[in-house]
Amino acid sequence: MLRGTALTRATRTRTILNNLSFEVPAGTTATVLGPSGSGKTTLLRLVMGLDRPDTGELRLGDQLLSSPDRHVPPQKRGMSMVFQEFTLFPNLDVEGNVAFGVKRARDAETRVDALLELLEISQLKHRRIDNLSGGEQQRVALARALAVAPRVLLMDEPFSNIDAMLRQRLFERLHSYLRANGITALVATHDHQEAFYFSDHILVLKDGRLIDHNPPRRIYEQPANAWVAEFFGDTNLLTGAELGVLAPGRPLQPAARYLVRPETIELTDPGSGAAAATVAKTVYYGAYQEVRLRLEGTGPEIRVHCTGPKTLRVGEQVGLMLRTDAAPHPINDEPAD
Amino acid sequence: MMLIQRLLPIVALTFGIAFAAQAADTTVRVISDRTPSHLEPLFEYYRTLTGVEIESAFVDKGLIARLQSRPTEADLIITKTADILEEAKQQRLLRPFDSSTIAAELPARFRDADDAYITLSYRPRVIFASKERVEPDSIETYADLTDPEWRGRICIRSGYHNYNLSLLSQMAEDQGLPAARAFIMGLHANLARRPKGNDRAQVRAIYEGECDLSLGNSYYMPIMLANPEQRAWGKATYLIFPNQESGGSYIMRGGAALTTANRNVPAATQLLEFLVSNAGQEFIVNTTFEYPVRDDVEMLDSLRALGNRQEGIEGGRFKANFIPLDAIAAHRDAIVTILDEVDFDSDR
Amino acid sequence: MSTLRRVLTGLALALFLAPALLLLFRATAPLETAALWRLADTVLPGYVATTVLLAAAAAMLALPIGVGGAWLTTFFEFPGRRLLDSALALPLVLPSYLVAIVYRELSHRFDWSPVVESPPAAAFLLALTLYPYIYMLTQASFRRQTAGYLEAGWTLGVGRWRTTWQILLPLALPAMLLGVLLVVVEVVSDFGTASALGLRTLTIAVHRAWFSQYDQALAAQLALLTALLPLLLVAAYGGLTQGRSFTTLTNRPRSPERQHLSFSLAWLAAAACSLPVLLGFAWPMLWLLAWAAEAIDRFRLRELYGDLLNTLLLGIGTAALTLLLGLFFALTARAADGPHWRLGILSVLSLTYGMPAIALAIALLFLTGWSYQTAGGAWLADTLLLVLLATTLRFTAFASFSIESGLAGVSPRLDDALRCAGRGRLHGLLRVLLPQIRGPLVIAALLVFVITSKELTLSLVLQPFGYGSLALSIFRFAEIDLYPPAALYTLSLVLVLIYPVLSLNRWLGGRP
Repeated sequence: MLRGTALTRATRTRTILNNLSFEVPAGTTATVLGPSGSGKTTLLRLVMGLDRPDTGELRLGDQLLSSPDRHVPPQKRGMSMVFQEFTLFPNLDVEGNVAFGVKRARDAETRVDALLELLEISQLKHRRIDNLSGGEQQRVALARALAVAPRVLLMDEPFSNIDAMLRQRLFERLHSYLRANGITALVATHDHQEAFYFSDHILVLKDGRLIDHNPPRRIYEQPANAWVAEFFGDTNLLTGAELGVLAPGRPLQPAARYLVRPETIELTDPGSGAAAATVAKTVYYGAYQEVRLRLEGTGPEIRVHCTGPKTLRVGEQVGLMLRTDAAPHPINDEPAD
Repeated sequence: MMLIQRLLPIVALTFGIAFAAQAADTTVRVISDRTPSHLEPLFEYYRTLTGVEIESAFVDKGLIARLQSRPTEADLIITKTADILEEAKQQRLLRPFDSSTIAAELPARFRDADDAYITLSYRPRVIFASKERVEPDSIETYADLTDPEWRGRICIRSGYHNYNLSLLSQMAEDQGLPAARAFIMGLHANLARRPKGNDRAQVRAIYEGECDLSLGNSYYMPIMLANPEQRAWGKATYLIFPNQESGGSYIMRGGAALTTANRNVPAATQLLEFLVSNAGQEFIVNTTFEYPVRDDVEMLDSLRALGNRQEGIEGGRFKANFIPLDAIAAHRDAIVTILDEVDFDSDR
Repeated sequence: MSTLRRVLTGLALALFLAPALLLLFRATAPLETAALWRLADTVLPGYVATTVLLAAAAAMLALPIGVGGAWLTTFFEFPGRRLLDSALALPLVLPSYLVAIVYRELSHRFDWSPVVESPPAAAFLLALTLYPYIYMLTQASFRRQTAGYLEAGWTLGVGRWRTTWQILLPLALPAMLLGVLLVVVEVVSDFGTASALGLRTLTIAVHRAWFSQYDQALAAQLALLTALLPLLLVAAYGGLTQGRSFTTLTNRPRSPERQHLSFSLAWLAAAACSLPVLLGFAWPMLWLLAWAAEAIDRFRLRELYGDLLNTLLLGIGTAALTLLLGLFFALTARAADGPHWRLGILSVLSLTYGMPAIALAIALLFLTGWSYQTAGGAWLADTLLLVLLATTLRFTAFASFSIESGLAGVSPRLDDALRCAGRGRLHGLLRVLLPQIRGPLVIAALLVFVITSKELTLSLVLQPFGYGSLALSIFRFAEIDLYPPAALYTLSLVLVLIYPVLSLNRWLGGRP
């Protein structure tokens, strides 16, 4: 269990991390998600021991790693880290980089080969670093961090330079490798798709504060506030009164606001369903079609994601209802911006 | 803006000087390898006297190369080593002067046979000896320095320095090349240390006890005595004019010549005449402590005192060996060859 | 690359190559080799040996001082660290030969002051005044990559020492080599120190052949021989680094967390860093100050002002010209396909820098001789421009090298983007490209200014009428043993150079 308690770090001019507490169970993967400048990298550096907290504590299992008066140096933490800028050693070749931290020389050869194989870069083994593409360098950095068999692996935007198809394949391999070896991982990213794939837990950071800390499904369906809701996908924020039109008979607070994800609303034939609406705009996204609808009367604009062969046109009349298995989540704060 | 305003005159001056120089008849350009402070007071005096402006470049190295590449750059050359004037004459870089004044006032031994250059002053290359450790009259000639008695007791600057090359060339002309070779080898065998430093550094080595004898130009004695830091070095030694019984001491000559520039020959000739006049000679003697080329120039007390421990020397007057410069120049290469063979500047 | 650009670059390179070609012509045309062979049979081997030994010893001594200083000030915290960080660059403000003269004088005045008139001692003194090149370049390299790689090492469970040894030192190697190269070129082409200490080096032999024997062919042959050593080193540098310098001056520097040393080690480090500053700067400065105090009321300051202005004019003018030419060459090399232009430019510039200054000066004298017959040519030679041309030819290598290494850090895609931006090339260059390499430009300008202000030989041979500079006056006074005025002028030179040297150190360290 990696546990941070009330961690704070500030520079002279601003607070980078503000009173952060979190837990990552051993062997699981947690993602640190947030917009750039939210403190993700600082959190990772703090866990790694490259930076020290001003207040608070960091523990791995029973061991106290960081506190204002105790600091286990990074090289003694049994962790490794993939830097956003890779920081590969340009004077060593790929093999030299990956083997750099391996303690026992006897293990190095086989372990390096296995990792290069896993990340599909075996053919680069003897290449110089400055001849590699960004994606290749990123994978070398990943292999280098894994080669030291860390208890905890920290990754800062580890897949930002890798193209989509390869990324999917690497996700899967890395995920099962981490599981198989019982490695606890903390991944910083700004891409929520990556977060969903990888994580057992997601830590959402905004302006140095931890504003949500839950498993992916919970974060998506029951976010802590409107900002988190919007960060993870398209939203409809409706009052109980407005939502009541789509879902008659549900027990709703008329004045409260609810998160309704676009894919939880069903379109029906005109005249059927719970309410009638006019199509105001449509956008085709491939996997689904986003439809913006205006309810009869002066209701709010509602977004719906619909799948299937049917193509809707602007001005068309449709019926509308909340899926019966959907559970609208009450949101307590104002939407961002 | 302020800076630019201040710099402008300087820029204008730097770039404008050439035009001014070429335009004005009242300007003479002098190129010299002498120390600026030895000539500048003279130039200043000349300007107040005649209104003629003198522009100078003090090129301590490569004076000959500059003459070769731009023969007409200056009107007049003033050098501390007249040997290079002979070299320049052979390369046709000099214009013979035409002056009845010089012909009348300057003895022939101070003029080139073709009137290509003149000697302005001279100083003998003499022996400095330790007052404590060298008996007066134990040395009379240069060749005496090769006596085994002085083994490990002599200091000298690099054999390849112009002063030494000139001295050895004069010896080769005076006594024959074999004698010069024997002198070089004998002297080298007697050296106390590797040749290094200037002439004064050798006298200092005598003062500090590293050696007992050295070769140097005579003017260093008055210069050292006038300098509080160096007075002790001079005082530790006395000066011997060598070869007084046999042809005279070998000398270094300062000289002057006209270049082939025809911008302002009369004015340049006039300056040349001034340099050999009584007033010009006084300036030269007073700043350089060399010997004048006129007998009617008053000798400084410091010069009169030279050689006062030596028998036969009165009032600093000594017998100099005026070997023509063209004869000296002819031996230069042979001397360098011998120095190389002996590896004269090597560690002993 | 456009034809115009090719032609212009070719012409510029021809200008740089001309002195060397003339030298080659003078050395080979008369087919007079007798004097050279005679020298080879007698004293030449000694001259070559002294030169090689002096250069090698000075470089080997300067290397640990420079690298050690850079290492201690970058990685460790100790008393006076910030001060010493700057102070270690200070010996660069003093002309080497003057430091040699001070130590020579002291050895005569005090029994405890060691005798310095031997090749090993001379190598030590040269190392003391030249190590700042190695120090500043190595420190810049450390600064620009240390923090990241140390941290990367820690994240892999590897401690400070192993990362330093296996990563940081190898990465700083090109910077160290470049520093060594500069030291060697300065030592080989040095005249002042060798002559002050009575050493027999090749440069001394060149002077001798020219000024005592009037033998131009021999002097040219010896000059070419002298230029060989720096050229070999440039080739070795090019081969070893294969045109790659891991750091570029545009890297953003980040200082690592400095390690705190135990009490005794901290004071030891402070002492180790103070020693070169004390010996190479403070101690000679103390004596120069004492001597200058004697001179202050005895000399006319008006002359000093003239020298000062000329020194500034020459320094600033050379810095500006070398920057323009360096930029032109660097942009040409960048625009060219393949490494040929780059290598060509590098070798021509290094050849001009590597030949002894005296050879360059005399070659320029003869090259510009014909032009003196024309009114315009006479005007040029009578102004500072000829000296300016000489210093520019000699020191453009610095500017070109610095700018090129800066441009290496700017993505070539930026050039394409600028071409698509619709404004003229010049606009893109001035508004986008140059600001990106501001650091390397400033570094080149400062370095050229410092080195030009101390320059002696070129001004000595090529000076126009009525000209004087601080370096010239210092040399003249020192030559006739007038140390008080020499010291006074040196202090003026120190005042001119101290700020440029300190800011050079700051810019190289990436902390403007």
